[in-house]
Amino acid sequence: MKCTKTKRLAYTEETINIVNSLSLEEKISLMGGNVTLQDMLNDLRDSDEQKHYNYYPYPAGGIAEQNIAPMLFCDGPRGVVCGTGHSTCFPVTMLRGATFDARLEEEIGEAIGKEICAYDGNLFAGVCINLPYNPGWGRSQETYGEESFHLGEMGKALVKGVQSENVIACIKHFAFNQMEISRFKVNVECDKRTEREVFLPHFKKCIDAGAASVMSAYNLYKGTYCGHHDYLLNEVLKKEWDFDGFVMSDFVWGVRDTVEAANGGQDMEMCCTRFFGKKLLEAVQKGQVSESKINEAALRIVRTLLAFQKNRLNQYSKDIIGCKDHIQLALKAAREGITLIKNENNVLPLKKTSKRIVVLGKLGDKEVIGDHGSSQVRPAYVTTPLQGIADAVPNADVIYYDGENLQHAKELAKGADAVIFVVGYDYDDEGEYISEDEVDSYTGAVGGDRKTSLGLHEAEIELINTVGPKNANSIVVLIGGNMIMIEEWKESVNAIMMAYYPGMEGGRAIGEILFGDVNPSGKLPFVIPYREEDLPTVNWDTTHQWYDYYHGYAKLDKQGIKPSVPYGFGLSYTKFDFSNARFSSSENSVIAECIVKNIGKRLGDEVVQMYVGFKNSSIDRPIKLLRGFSRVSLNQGESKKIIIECPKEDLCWYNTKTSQMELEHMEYEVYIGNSSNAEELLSGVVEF
Amino acid sequence: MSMYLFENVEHEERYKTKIFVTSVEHSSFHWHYDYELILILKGSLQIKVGSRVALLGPRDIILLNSQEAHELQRTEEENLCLFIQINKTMISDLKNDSKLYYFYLDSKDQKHVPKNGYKAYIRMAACIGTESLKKELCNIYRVKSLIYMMIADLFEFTLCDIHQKPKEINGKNSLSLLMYIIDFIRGNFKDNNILENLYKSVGVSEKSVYRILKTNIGLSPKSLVLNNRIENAKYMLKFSDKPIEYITCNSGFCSGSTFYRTFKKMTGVTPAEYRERGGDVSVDSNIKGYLKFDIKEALYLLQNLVDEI
Repeated sequence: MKCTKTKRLAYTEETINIVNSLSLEEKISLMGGNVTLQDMLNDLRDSDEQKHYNYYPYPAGGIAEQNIAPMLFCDGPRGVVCGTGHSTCFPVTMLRGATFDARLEEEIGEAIGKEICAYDGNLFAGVCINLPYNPGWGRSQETYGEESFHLGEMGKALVKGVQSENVIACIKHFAFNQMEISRFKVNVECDKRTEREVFLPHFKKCIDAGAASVMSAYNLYKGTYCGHHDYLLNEVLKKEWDFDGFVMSDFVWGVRDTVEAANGGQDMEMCCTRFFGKKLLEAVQKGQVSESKINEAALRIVRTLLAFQKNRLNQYSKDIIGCKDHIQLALKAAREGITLIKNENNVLPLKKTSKRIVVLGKLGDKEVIGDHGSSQVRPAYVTTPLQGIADAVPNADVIYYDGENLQHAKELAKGADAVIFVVGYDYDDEGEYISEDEVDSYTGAVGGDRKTSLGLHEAEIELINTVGPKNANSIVVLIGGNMIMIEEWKESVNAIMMAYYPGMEGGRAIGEILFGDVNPSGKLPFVIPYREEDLPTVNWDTTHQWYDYYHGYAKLDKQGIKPSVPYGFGLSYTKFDFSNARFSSSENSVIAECIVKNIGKRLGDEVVQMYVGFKNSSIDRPIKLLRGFSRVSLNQGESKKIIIECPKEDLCWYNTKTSQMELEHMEYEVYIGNSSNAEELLSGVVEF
Repeated sequence: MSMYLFENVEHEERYKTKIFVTSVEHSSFHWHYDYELILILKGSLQIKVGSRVALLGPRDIILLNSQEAHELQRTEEENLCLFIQINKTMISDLKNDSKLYYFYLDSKDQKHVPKNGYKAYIRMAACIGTESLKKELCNIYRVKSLIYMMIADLFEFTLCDIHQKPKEINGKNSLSLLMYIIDFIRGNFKDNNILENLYKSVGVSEKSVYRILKTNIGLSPKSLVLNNRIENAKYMLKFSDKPIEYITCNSGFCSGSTFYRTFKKMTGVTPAEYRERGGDVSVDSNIKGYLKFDIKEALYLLQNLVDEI
């Protein structure tokens, strides 16, 4: 990364000189967006469909006379939101989480960075690393999974990739933002350990990796709006973590009070200036906000923009947007992330010599790329699952029916070599959401949290249960942003594949995996329980929510509840053998290694996972947590030694008495394997 | 060649749809890109769709989907039918030409009844028919909108499958092979060595060709060739003055006796007798009168449908 924190800090003196030469008004003008609410609504309501939210980079600040470029905001995370019919639409973040491929995520960051340059933007607000406390969160698709360590590693990779192109990576939403319907009104609370061990570490990791901007969240934390949060923004982010960049608010409703926000550490009101601007000037003049606060904000903004601007030597023409290489990268991600959960009797891969394939389910012929909120990317085309399947088996008759009439669906299934159900969610079922409290919407999305059920729609369950058993080769392809319950129908089909929202070439990847052109290698970045009640309860429509210390796979583990499908699980068309496990520690890290061998019949990738256990702890700690992962590609018969290291820092707990993260000195269990299933992990102990 | 204008459908410039009333004699297995809606006004008609045989009577309606192989055959009765041939581009997704929509609309089929029943389509077809006979600008627009209304109803209320083709169309699935074989035979039935040439051209074994035809339209390759040859002969006998010897060769038969035998077996009469009678079946002396009479009758029947249904 060229524009590292060190490099940025080198511009401090120059920045101070610039800021000192500005008037108070000018400094304050840097601290707000230049898009009016009306502008945004006009974009949204454009009937031509060429305009939409963020179809061009939204500007903030900037002083032409001083050569200070405005901040030019581009949303994400599945690609660049700007433009219509151009940007590369990558698979959603959750699918990319399922790849457990940090190197690939960095490449995606580089590609996105380049496209942002071509759009003349300078900031990418697409590093969403909010942890889904409950998988029903409507925007789960925008994050990597339920494990903080994994979020940190993947988020870090994206930050590095984006910033390597001298585009500012903005991480969001800081913090405790994992409820959609109530996001403007909910006050989240939790205990200190939960705050420091579960919900903040991945943010710190991204800051340590050099992220230059942070977006504050809409919700309240411990009674204060996150956009005004002195503790989170001033104490934790800027002081403790020594963050050098600038904070921006989430849009329109992220700042609600001029004085509290300014004093609370908010640097930039986005995307319209309503509480800052004139009102902030008045507050300073009245002595409610000190000018030093303004100076600090201006310093952060100018220094960051200056550093990135000066280091941006590359120019990219518009041709790079949606170019073949980037689309190929999107396809690669889809191929690596799609997760095979069940494959009874090896019905998959299906035969290329099949004569008749039937595809059922409303989503089969849809462009399943994700919600229609602020993360909506508009690519030149989308390959639907149906098209991808037809392309994968050109010598077969591929027939699609939406599945409404069960009799007809049954008849079609009986005559087919295989039946593929494409089921799950679309942008009406889950996604970003504007509550009814707010009059004007800037996304026009329906979305929301999955508040009634984490399972499939009733009609789809009935379709699978009625028709699945009628064909010996029945497969369910799941579409959605997070965990989908499978108990009600899993026995009716032979194979189950989770495709998340697989991007513009997702349909192609689905077809390739179904028919064996590609060997699936994704792993679930979340647990699938037997019962929804095994997960923490969340009241989706509320003004107050408590977060427990435990959630997801760690909660099931702690309570001795067996999951239906474990965290980190994913099947392959080949088989891997793990042996020679060795566990040790160095001064700064814990090390796990083993030999992985491909003992199956074809080339395949495996994701080796490392878990660390805390059963000897004298305090309440999880049974085990993911603390490392490494993807490896092996030919048939090939074996490699895999070494995974975890910094001891990542094993700490938060001691409320000393207000420090501390390392326990005891014997730790260390595990290595290809999922969180204890019965199949190789284990050992390490003491320090 | 065919007088029924099935294959080379010229569309009214104005609404990409050919609408006409006629009586049907015979049309052996063929396919076209158009969607073809047939409404029986009078008499009965035998329609073979794929391997299914349907006998339609008055007020029966059937939709033949794009690229669906079919054969029409008149029965003992005279018939009068309304044809609405809709260009595929009015129905298919212009962005994505690799989709083929397949609608289930056959009033004789009790298994796949549309949610809005068959009467709606019978009435709509009849309205399209009556409206198309008037030629003012307002009528043209009305016809267009009626056709689109019907297409909308098809999408909303009938069972609809989508046959998805791969992006690269050099795949050989059974639908594309079937169409190829039918076309080949229609185009080359005059060759003496047609079947050998077919197997070479299509690149698929004799057994496979047999299987594809038999499963999809219930005929063997040999039968399909014969159908085409006899149909050609009948046409030439009825509408041309060419001598029978000429017609024999032109229809692909090597010997006069083979032609004579085959013709008699398939139609019940000798070629000469067929020519004398001026065509199929019932002895109708006043041919010219028959046609004129049809249009008035057609209008009458259509209007009845519009009023009653």
